[in-house]
Amino acid sequence: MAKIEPDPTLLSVAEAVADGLPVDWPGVAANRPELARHLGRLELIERMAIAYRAVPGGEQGTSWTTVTAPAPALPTRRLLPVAAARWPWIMLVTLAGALLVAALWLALLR
Amino acid sequence: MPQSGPPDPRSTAVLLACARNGESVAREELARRYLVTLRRWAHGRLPRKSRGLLDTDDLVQATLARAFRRLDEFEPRREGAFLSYLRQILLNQVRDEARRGKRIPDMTELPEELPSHAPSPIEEVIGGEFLSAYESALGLLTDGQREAVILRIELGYRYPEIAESMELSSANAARMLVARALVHLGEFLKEKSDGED
Repeated sequence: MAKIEPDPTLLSVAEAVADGLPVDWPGVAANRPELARHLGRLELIERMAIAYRAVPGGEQGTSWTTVTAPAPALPTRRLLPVAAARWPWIMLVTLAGALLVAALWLALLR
Repeated sequence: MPQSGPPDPRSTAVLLACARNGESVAREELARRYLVTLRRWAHGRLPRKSRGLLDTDDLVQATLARAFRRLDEFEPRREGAFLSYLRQILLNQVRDEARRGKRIPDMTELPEELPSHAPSPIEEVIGGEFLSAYESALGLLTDGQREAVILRIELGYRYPEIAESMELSSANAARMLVARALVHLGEFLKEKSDGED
């Protein structure tokens, strides 16, 4: 082994990579520029880990999904503004229909 | 990482011992236990172009059959070692398959050392050069570190599963082993790339 006791910064970054947690790569590299190359390798390992997680075919027993998979986005966020935008038109059409019916009734009564 | 279904009461170590003695039920159970994990791994490492030539499941089954044939030569001490062994056989199968995929279009025999130019999904993300360096660096780690990296990074095992597979005292011990192994892996990758610069 090249080192017996790893650098604490590298170790904490490696823990985050192993846990599937996000790492502030530019921030860490800025604080420890002497570790930049090593951090670059760890970043590639992180990318590889993410790529393995993204591989299809692990419908059963995919541990990674429980670690990092984000919750599916709710469709209401996109649907609600659309429905809200249409609401005045619906009200207007309904009102126009009601006025038309009322006008027809008045005409019939005369 | 067992699949869903009724849990088998026997441990992998017991199943391996039974499989070595020729028990077909033990072999089937081992195959069932690792099929999904290996198939998923193979999907990541097999070039998309080659994937249609041979079903991934067939590749995995061939890997398991080859591993079972060699159980007399290799006696895995624990589940992690067995998975690492399976992964190496499967990697060789994937490389063979990639080369075959390269040869098939014009049916011309190419030299064995010629790699396929079609990238696998993992290569597409990190590049073939880094993947090759990673494989070399992986080979420089201790057996335990290598198993830990493979189980966590490539196969997606949880820490309690890694601890069980590697006969470690706790999930936290597994977590620390993986993290330290990644630091060492980074060092070996760095040394390799520095040497190539």
